[in-house]
Amino acid sequence: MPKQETFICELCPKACRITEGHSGDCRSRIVVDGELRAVTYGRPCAIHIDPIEKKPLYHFQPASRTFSLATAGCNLHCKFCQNWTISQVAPQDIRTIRLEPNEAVRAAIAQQCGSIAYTYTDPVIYYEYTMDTSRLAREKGLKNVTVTAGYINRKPLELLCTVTDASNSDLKAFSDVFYRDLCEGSLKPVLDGMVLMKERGVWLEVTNLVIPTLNDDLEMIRRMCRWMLANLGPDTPLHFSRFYPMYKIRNLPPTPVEFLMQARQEALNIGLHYVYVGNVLGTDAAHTFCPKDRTLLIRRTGYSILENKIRNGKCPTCGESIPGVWSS
Amino acid sequence: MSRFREWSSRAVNKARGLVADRLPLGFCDKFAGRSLESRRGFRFSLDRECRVARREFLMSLGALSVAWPELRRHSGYRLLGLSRKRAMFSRKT
Repeated sequence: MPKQETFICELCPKACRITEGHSGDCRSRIVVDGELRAVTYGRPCAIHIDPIEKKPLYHFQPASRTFSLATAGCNLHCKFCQNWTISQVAPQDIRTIRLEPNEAVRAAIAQQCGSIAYTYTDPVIYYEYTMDTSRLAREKGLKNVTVTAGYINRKPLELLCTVTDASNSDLKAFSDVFYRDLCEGSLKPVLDGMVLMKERGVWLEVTNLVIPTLNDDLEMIRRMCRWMLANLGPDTPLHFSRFYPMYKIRNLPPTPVEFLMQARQEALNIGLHYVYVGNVLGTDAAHTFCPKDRTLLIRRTGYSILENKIRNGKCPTCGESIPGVWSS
Repeated sequence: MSRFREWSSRAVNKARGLVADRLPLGFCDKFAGRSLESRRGFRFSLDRECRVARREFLMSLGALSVAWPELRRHSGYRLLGLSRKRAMFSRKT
């Protein structure tokens, strides 16, 4: 009997060892005919045109439309996943369509989108599709946005940064135990990835989904904010997102809005300039204020922008420069 | 330890880490309250009320353990309608 070849996938820190006919932990990379294949390439299972604020990206082309796509699978298995119906299934078990990179770019232009977002599941697991589509999108003048948990090795991330304009990265908790027990991952690669993206000039915003009893520890949130301040700088926007019961954690209530406000205040006190509360309607914590004179700059409700006073990337009152990508 | 107990213990251990994600939702929900109290994610609690579910689960796992390797060998089946694009960042051992 011939010796069976084993592949080691070096895309993410899980380093799956995969033999013929088997898939990695993400379910989207399978060894077939002696070759490791990205089986979801050009086979998205979700396509939408979203406002960029939905990602959420609040400092990147506000009020623009983004052509959002995803393929099935994920390299993390968060018990609270909000998109579990597509992220926690195998690609062969879900309905997909054929959409090659050039077709995706053409569709995005036809729909008057300013960017393409690789989102919903995680662009890490459809890396090749993201890379090829992003390169073509750049050629056509579109921006590229990744919405990711950032669980990826350094080398592939470096390459991905060359075609990415903006990223919203999940920081699920500032705890390795949380990552291990609830997500089947680890914290360090995520933090390293964020620092790398910042260094490479990718516009970065961070999202922290606050789950009652699991990561709603104010001391942990303070440590996370201090780390962000020291490593990503005060101008990196932080979004505290409200949890809703989902997937395997349906026995916990939605996050109390008061706690999200408290977490936001702590983050502001520590020195972060732009801290938002997401998944909550009708709150002032979704607006952008000038960190210098507290002028209301962008007024939001849900995913809509009601008012944008930023002119040439500056506060109209005091002239303070507001970091972000404000024009297409 | 009898062979059956050894096998079932192995199966449950495997289930803790791997198969829990693939179980029907109702099954996991049954265990959710207890396991979350300890803030350790999802673990199987094999107390009296769970015995029936456990037995059913082990039976289905036994059936699957026979079926899966056969299915997986037929990679053509797994790739119906999917891409054969060569993946980046991998090496052979």
